[in-house]
Amino acid sequence: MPPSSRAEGRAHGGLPTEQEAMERVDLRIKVEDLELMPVLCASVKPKNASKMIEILSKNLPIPELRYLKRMRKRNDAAAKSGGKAEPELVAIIAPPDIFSRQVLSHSMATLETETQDLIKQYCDSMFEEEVPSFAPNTREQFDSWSKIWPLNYRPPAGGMKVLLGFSQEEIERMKAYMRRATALAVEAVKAGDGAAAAVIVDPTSGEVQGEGVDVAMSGPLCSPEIPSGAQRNDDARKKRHPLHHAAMCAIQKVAAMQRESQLVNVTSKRKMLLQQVDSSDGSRDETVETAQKDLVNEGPYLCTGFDIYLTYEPCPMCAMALVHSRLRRKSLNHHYEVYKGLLAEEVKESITSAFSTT
Amino acid sequence: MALAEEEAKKALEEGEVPVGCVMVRGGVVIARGHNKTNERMDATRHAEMVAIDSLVEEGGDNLWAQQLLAGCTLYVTCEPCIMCASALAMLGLERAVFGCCNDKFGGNGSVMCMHESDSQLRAVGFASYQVRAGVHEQEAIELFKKFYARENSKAPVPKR
Repeated sequence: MPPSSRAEGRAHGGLPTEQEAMERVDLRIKVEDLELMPVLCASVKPKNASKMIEILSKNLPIPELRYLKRMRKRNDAAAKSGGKAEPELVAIIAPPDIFSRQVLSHSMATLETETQDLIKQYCDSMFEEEVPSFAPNTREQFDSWSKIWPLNYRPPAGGMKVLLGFSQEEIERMKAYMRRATALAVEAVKAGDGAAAAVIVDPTSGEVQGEGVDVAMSGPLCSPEIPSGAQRNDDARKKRHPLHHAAMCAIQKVAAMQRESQLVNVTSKRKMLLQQVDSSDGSRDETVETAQKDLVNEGPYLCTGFDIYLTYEPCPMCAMALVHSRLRRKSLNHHYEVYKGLLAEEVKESITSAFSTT
Repeated sequence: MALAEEEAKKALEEGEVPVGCVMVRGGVVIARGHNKTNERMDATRHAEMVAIDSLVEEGGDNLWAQQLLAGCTLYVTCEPCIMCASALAMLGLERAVFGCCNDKFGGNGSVMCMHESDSQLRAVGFASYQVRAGVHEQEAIELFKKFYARENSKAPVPKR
């Protein structure tokens, strides 16, 4: 059973918390509590182990249980106290959905006689064992569930950290940024622009680095080239641009801000350097030029490590622009994490009511 | 294509990744652009976006998305990335002609096919356009080689 359908089937008491309402998009998995299910097992003598593994993987593969090792050492107390020289092994014969001997014997009828005989030897002593009913999502789950049954672990694409492991404090901060984006969207709708808004945040400082609304489809727009804080209603600079979606505007705003701060930096440092160089005998131009080159490499690089909050899912152009801009860079392959559903209802309501009052 | 290469050379001279393009409508060059990502400190300032911006700057009444590039052919030295290829689809481009492929981010066949809009994309304003690859491919690759040789001696030569 895929994890998603199980998640839907799981009953929650009361209202869902934000953690549950918000969903990590790229992985479509949640951190769930351990659930056990019975499987049909049989004891296997160690000398037959490799032959049995071969037969099982060839003739009775269970692809949906790939996260379980097919065989493990018997570890119950009875076996230990039995004092046998060789510990017995336990093999998983069948998954729960063919959990009847009739079904099993039917599927065995299609096997070679030799294989049938080998499996039949074990059939009389078959028993149920409880195993985890889905693959672990985190390293922690892997470690603890492995005590129940040995597991194979493939870390999810996002790494081994606990997914959606945000603290309540982080959730509150995220909600504040999403509300800010919603407010921008409401304002934009009232001004005749689109309802998509974006807020780019540096999570280390908590400062907003750039904002934007969708001015592509309708209405006059505030050019993203206007530095933040400049007059919004400067008519001369208002212009419509078919590609100025919210995310694109926000990215360009960040760039404009970074260009500005670099200019300030370079100018002030240049002055300082010139004074230093003048008082010494060094070659003036060369020193200043090298220092200026170093300055260019200082400071933030694009939107590396920043987070973006959007009222609407970005289109392919914007999504790629976010990759290019290195938002919350995960690796050199420029991956980023995506979460959806934060304050979804609140955003929807605010924007709908803004449309209806316009 | 030679004009697009001229633009790419300008980018190279400015220390940018050398990609250049021109937009042609009815045999007339209506826009040109080269990569300005470093200068603008903005990773979205690709040659195509710069050219599109110059068209928007000129104003005109054709700012409605699907008309801006109607009847236009884009000549660009390197395959448009997914972002640019999407933008071109939204602006109603007729045809894209490019030199070398963009194995990492290409939006005209290498990674995704943004020029072949399905019904879902058409519903949100993406149109389809023709694509022709491999025109003056070697010239485009040579420019990249020059750039990487200068910027970083350890950088691998771009594939194809």
